[in-house]
Amino acid sequence: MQEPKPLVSIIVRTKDRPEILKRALKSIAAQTFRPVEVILVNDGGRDIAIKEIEDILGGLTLRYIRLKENTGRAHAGNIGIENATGQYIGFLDDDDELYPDHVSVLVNCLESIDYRIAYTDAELVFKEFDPETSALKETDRQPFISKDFLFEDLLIQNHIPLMNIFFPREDLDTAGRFDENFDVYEDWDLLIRCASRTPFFHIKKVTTKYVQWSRELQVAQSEMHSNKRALAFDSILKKHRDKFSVSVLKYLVHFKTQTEDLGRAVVERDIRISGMNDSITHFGEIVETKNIVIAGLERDIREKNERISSIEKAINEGHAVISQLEADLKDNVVKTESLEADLRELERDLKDKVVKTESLEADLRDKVVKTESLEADLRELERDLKEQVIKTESLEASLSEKSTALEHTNAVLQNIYNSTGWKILLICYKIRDWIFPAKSKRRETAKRTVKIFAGLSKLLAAENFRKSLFYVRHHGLAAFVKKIKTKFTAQADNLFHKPVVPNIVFKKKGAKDTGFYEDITVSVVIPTFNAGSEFEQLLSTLQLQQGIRAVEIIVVDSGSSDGTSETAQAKGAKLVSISPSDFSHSYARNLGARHAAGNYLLFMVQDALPPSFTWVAELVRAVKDNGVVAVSCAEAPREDVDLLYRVLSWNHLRFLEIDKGDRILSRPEPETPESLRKNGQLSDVACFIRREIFEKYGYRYNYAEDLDLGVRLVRDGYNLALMGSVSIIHSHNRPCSYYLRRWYAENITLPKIIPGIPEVRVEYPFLVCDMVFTYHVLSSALLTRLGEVTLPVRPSDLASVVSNILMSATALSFPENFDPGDDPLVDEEFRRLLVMITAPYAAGKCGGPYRGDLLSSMLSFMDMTFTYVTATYDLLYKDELEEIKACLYKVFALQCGASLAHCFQNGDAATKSLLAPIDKELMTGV
Amino acid sequence: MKILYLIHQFFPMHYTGTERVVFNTASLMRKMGHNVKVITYSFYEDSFYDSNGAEILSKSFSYKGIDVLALRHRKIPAELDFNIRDNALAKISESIISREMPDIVHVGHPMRISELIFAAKRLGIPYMFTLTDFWLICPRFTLVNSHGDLCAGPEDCSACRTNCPELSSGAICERLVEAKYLLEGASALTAPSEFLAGIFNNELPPLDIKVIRHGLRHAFLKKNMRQFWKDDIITLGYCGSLNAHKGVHVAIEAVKRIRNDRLRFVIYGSGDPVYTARLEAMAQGDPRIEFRGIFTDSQAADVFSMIDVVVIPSLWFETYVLTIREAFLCTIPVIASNVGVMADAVRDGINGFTFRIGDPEHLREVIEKILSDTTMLNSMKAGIGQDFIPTVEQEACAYNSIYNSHRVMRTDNSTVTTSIVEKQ
Repeated sequence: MQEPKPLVSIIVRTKDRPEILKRALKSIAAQTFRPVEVILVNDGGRDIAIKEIEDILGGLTLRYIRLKENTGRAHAGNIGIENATGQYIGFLDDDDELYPDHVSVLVNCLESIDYRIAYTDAELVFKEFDPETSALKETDRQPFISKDFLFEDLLIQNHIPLMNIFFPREDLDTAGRFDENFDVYEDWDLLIRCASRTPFFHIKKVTTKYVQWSRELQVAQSEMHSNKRALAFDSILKKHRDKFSVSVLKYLVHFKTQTEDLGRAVVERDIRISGMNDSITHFGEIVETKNIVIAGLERDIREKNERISSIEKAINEGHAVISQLEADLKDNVVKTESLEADLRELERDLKDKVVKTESLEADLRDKVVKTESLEADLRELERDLKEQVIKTESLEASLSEKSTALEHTNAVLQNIYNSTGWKILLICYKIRDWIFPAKSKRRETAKRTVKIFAGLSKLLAAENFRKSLFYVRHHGLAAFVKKIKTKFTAQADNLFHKPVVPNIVFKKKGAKDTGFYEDITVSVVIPTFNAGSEFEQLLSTLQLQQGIRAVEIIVVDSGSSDGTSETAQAKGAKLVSISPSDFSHSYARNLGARHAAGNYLLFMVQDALPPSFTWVAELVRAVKDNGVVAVSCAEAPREDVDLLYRVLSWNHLRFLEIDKGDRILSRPEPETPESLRKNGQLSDVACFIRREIFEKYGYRYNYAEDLDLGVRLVRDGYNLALMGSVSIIHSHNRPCSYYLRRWYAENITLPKIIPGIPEVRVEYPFLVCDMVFTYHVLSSALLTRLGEVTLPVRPSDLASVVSNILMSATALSFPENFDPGDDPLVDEEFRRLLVMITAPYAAGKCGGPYRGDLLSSMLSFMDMTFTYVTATYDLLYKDELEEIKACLYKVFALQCGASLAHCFQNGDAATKSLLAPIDKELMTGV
Repeated sequence: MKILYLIHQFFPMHYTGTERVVFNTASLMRKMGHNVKVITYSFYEDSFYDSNGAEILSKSFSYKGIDVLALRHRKIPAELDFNIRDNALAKISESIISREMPDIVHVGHPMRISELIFAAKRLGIPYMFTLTDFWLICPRFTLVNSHGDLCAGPEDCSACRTNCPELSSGAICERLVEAKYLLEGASALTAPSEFLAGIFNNELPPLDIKVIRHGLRHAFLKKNMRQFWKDDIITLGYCGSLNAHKGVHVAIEAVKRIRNDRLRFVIYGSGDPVYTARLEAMAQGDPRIEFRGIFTDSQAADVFSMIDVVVIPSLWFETYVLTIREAFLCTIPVIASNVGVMADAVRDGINGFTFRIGDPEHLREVIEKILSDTTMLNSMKAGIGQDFIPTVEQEACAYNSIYNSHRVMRTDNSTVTTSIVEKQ
């Protein structure tokens, strides 16, 4: 379930500027963030047409307070604060404007960092009144001051526009709100008081428009008010003089010194410029003199050209002589090369002989070692022999017992042979042999016929019939026939062959194995973007890893604004910054690897967490002890994991066969999509790999880059390891829209990585009907029925309820329209995407009873889910029921994603064109 | 696998440190795919329970996804919190355990439910302890004797005879023997601090006690970035249970002796109603002292953001103190009693201050020192060390490794390799 977003209050103070005010309010209405409320304080001006304001604000809450008299900006601000109900409070003057992402940038930042107050940057926009058009026109734009927060700076200069800053409500109350003794600089005074309690965080992003008017329009900048500003400035200094500590004074002195230095630099530059002008005049005179000299030189050149012609003639005669000499030289070069080749040949022979000699010496040493080993083996064998002797004696005793049993059995057998039944059976066998002689063709035919009938009776089971129909519908008749052929030409008892993956057994630690790998340095590469507050814990745990020589951490950050880069640097990680537009999963990791110094690389994600201080050493051990080039491991969930993620992880472990232990993965035989997927499994949540191997292969693609790397490695003959006994802490709790996107992207990308994945044909209009119908079943019939279940309930009973509803749902009718509803289990984004995808829906076009596949897919998936739930819970209560309901919607989402991907990928040109905007939408942000 | 947790009290009625640890661990084990259950002693009204006419009442319910079986004597014995053995519970303990058939039993606290551990032992089911206080070797569980002094341990019950004469010496010695039997029969022993492990090892060597620190929910805690100026207002905070051994009255007394309006004292928590009433009476008339009730984990960030210094005035050694770790994670200095785990964690003048245990005058001096120059808190925030504080998931993974190495392999009895079976 998503946390509710905090309410933001924007306080707007106004007086008699209704048209300009509308611009300001429109900019608030255009904010991408919700919920927002507007507190409009009319400080003694003419009344405003509230209906018009409400229309501008759309659905935003408006609180309008009109003060009878003009009481000043500070008092108006305090009235605004008093009436605000939001968790965060911001301000906007009626002549300024906000960019649409202003609120979301500030809220997202404050919700994820440790600072209480944050501010963004403004853009100065100069406007003046154009009498020709009778409208305001923009004359210039430039960035306003953009400075990181320093309290000393704020004391002497207000560089933070009030509209750029967000306060938690309680901070304004604690600070005492606006001081109503100030007519101007009331905002600066408030900022100083707040900043004296807690530092501000500077977000380097322009999110507001700070309007500056011409002198005629800007009242506050008029000569008349300059005295007022001066007096207010004095009041500020007097009020906050206690804050002018030694450090502030030092800063002022430094600031003054800097200003004086700048002034001196300007003066020096002026002097230099003046000097340059004199030089220019002087150079002009020199140029004239030079022109005269040039004329003389041209005369000389003409004379020299004549001399050159005569010399060229002499040179040509010389060239002929040179050509002859060159020919002689070539002959000599060829002879020399031939001699050099002979020399190299001799050197090679010599090297070979040296290598052979060394090899023979090594062989000799090996043989000595082997001899020693054989002697040890011999001693071992002698011990084994002794044990075998003891075992043999025991076996002899056992044999004696068994002989007795055999005699008894023989007696029984003899009785059988003497029985009438046996004699009759022998007669039947004789008849059989007479009709179907042994090794005859008739006998073989009869055997095959019996087998075929047995097989046919299995094949013709209803379940297989249903599966076959499904297969033909989606893969086509040709693919179906091919699959049948494969079955019948394979071994009779291994028709659906799953590739066998060998177990691994770790070597036991010897007495000298201290568990410390002193030759191993691991470079951990982590791509980051707004990694959040737990990122520091990941870095700390990595830095405390034991059992290896060193760990270095390389963070590749793509524009975080929550302090991730600063955290990384503070913890001593190497930081590589890239722009968000440059990011891809492959590029970021390859770039990080290029900055690595270790002999092993460990790729991780920003929300993973090692469970212990020996986790990296366990991965090292897996690689070193088993001759593999890379290893990944299972995941242990975080606390907020959702049910679907748990089910998917559990099922994935079973598919990979590491739910019971660890595996070595190698090139599968045969190579099928399933065997490649199983044997190529590497995961970037934690992927430990030898550096020289990674440098040879690198990552590619923007999705499933880890699986692609694993498949390429095993196909090239390398072995990988996959550990179930070791885990990395990692999981997600994502909404339906994530699963829709993720499964779409996966099914689009996988065919590029794993060859031979069968095509699945899904028609778009058919899928639209299927989606609408299935969603309708889910959101009405199934959820209603689940709401009636008496709790607690056994998982098996709940499973029956769900499967009964899904199986009997085909009898329902298609709904008239698609209604995404407002169930909080479904996120807003998913509803939006569903509406977009099912836009062409019309109940009349779906016609007839339901014939789709999503219901049966959901049924199969929920069977698996309840298998997991049954193993984990004895009884289900309210919390578990809510999890299952949420899981149902997410399962629907992922099934839709997969089906839509097949639809797009295997559709004709018209379908691809129709689905192109949906494809673009779903591939973004995964 | 099936994991059974045993504990002396549990949510929703009780929610202090040990209960939180067991809940967090059980919850995460469930998410890892294990089947979990908590069996706890409880103190609900008679009508809450299902069983009729039985000596032991029981009720099954679910608490935030965890199956719970709550037990209670029909007539609660006077010696419930002292005794390790209990006849009434012994009669049904094997049937309770065998009905659950866990692969491993994890004891969060053995008080009131020890008979279930004996039953598990008899049934050949491995069990492990996470020690959270001294109850197994000290029936007062705090190692504070009748005189109110700290005690180094029972010293084979000779110290108990001398310092706690109101306790029957025969019962004390028998109790210690039973505790030793349970501890030595455990497949694994863990403790959250070296101090706690050391106390047990001192009394009953050689126990192999692994130190696994309790984890915190890092996502719920944020650094308090406030910087201090000279003569700022300081908010002192206490977060914990309101029971006498926690020494909250010492802190209130110290605050009352300070004549300075720049000090606030906020108290979060609940506990013994009589003691709480006493605290409220002490604070009566002093507007600087506020009782603010309890808060949930998700409110922790907001609570700690308004506190400048945390005070831990405990009158016993303590065994871990989650609040100190929470405070450090939020970069808040701590003032604590100068004994036990508190003295290990708080370094005087570096990340906080210590004061003489139970001495409100010394505590007053420490607070006045801070008030005289509040800027010293800035260097203390910077000095809050690099002690590693695990997350709840990291703590759970450590227990999971222990479960995996010690559980009964029920599918093939011949491969049982647990220490409990070997000892049998």
